Formats: sequence, C-alpha cells, structure tokens
Amino acid sequence: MPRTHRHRSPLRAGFTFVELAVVMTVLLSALLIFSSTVSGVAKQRSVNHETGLAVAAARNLLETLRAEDFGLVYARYNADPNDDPGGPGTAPGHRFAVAGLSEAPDSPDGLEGEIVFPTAMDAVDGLELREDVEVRALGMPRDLSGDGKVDDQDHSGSYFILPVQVRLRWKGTTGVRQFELSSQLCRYVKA
Amino acid sequence: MKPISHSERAGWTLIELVLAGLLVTGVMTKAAFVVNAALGLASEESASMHYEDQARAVIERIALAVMGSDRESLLPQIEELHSSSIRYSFSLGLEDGEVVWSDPEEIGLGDGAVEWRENPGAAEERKAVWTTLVSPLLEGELVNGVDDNGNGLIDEDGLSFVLEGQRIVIRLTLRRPEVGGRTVQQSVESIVFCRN
Repeated sequence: MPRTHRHRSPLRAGFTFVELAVVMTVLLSALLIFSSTVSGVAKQRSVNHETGLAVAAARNLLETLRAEDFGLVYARYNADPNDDPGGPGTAPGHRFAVAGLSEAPDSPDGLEGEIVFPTAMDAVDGLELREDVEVRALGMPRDLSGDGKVDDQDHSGSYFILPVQVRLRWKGTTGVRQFELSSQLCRYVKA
Repeated sequence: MKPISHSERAGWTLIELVLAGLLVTGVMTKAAFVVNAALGLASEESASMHYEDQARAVIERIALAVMGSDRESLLPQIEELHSSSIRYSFSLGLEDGEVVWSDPEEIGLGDGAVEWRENPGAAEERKAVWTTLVSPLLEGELVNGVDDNGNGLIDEDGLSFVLEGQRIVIRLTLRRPEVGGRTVQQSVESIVFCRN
C-alpha cells in the first residue's frame, strides 16, 4: 500500500495574509502604546512647566509684598481701588498677570493671579480687613491687631500681622488648574 | 496512489507579494514618522525642561544668597538700572546686640558663567562657578540700544540684577546649541526682598 500520510510540505511555508495582518495589528498596537506614552510624558512635562511658572510667580509676588511698606500693603493690594494711598485706582490692586500662563475661562478680567486677604464686605463701609472671617487657609479667625481679641471691626489701619494668600488660576494643558500659596506678612525691624 | 505534488503552487503570487510589500512599506513608513516625531518632541521637551530646571536651580541659589543681605549695603546701588553682578554681605546673626556680617561676596557674569566669589579681589578669594550656559544677552534682547523684550531694560546681559525700591529683580537666560542646529533657551526671573 502506498504511503499516503500527509505532512506539511515546504511548499506552503511562509506567511499568509492573515498572519501578516495579525503582525501588522500587533505592530500598530505597540506603536499606539508607544506614541501615547510619549504624548503622556510630554503632557506631564507641560504640567510641570506650568506649575514651575505658577510657583515662581506666587513666590515673586510674596517677595514684592514683603518689600512694600507694611502699613500700606493692605491698601495697595486689596480689592478696593478707593482706598489706594495715591488716589483711587493708583495701586496695583488684587489681580495680576502671570507671563506664560493663559487665563482661566472664568477669569473676570483676563488675569491669572489674585491676592486674598481676610476681608468681609460691609454694607455701609465697603471692604473691611476682619479678624472674624472664616478662612482656614489663612489661619482665620485670629487676632490681627495684637490686642488679644478677635472682634468684628475693620483693622485695615491697625494690623500688626497680615495673613495673605496668593492664588493663581489658569487654563493649562489638562484643563483649568489652581495654585495657592499662603503666608503672613509682618513689619521687618532692622537690628 | 501517489500524492499530488504542490511544488508548483508554493510561495506567494506576484500580486500577493506586491500587496504585502505595499502594506509593510506603508505601515513601516507611518511607524517611522510617528516614532521620529515622538522622539524629536521628547528630546526637545527634555532639553527644554533640563535647562529650565538648571536655570531655576541657579536663580534660586542666587536669590537665597542675596536674601540675607542688607539692601543698603548692596553694590552697585543704582536704582532701576541693570547690572550683571552684585556684591553683598549677609547677616550671620547677632552678637552683643550687633549684627555680624559675613565676608563680602559677589555674584556676577564672567565668560558665559555665573560666578560666585567670596572676598573678591582679595588674596584669600574663593570662587565657584554655578553654571556655564548663560546667554550673552537676556532672551529677546539685541545689542541695539533699544528695549527689545519689553522688560524696561536696554541691552541687558544674560544675568541681570535690578534694584527696585526694597526689592531686587534677578533675571537669567540659559542658552545652549543642541544637535540639529536648534538652540534651547530658558529664562527665569526671581524677585528678592533683602531681609537684613
């Protein structure tokens, strides 16, 4: 009886189209993973760059506040332009721009930075620097005038310590982002 | 019965071969473009981040050095004009109610480098180089007697100090040519209030 057993003959060796398609799919998947990793890393770098700009801007602004005449800092950098020492609207105010960052869509004036003091709006007297406001980030409520009491009076002319927060809000590569830096200002007395 | 030989049907036809070749070439070309673009972007971003980190580290060092000084003792004392160096002494603390000042130190630009010197010009001078990548001019500035970059200064160097009231504004640009003819440039700015 003649031998009829089958064996895979070399005549059919090599890739079929299906195999080729599978290889291509695997290759494309690997490329997709690679490119998404690279783009993720690039995005992360961009986020780090934005954070660096925000941190530097906030620190620079705090240094600027420290370099100001302590008794006038609040009046010059609060949200009320009417109490500016040089006349209404002559001081820098509470909003500022940060080079390299884009304003958030909800920015009221196209600026990215804001200086926050512990204030409250009085219906009659307008903006007041207050000891009794609840702002955890600023350590409020607390005594600002050094009289040992926390009251509901305006201390814009009698503060001996001034809590301040620099807040930045911008539109970043991953959406709207925010950075806050809090500190306390006091009068520097040279020895 | 003799099995049929298929040797005459082995391998791919010419059409299959051409199609496979086209498919492989297309995919590989696309892949090469993607990889090349991704690597280029990653390399550019890496270089940029590297120099940004370096610039921030150097300016941080300068700022911390100057922060402990007395604003009135800084040299030069000219307000609103830029200088590529600053001389200062910082407070070491109090002794019998008097401030004890350190030996004079100077931070300045020399041959594209940020140089820190203790006792500058004296026999016991000590020197350290903090970076050698400083650009000859600040980013966006040209030597033309005009304020090109809009920061209020004219023809300022890659390292500049400006005294503005009680604060010192420090600006630094690092610059380095990369492979492929690109130049990576990073600028940073720091504001310092002298504490003593």
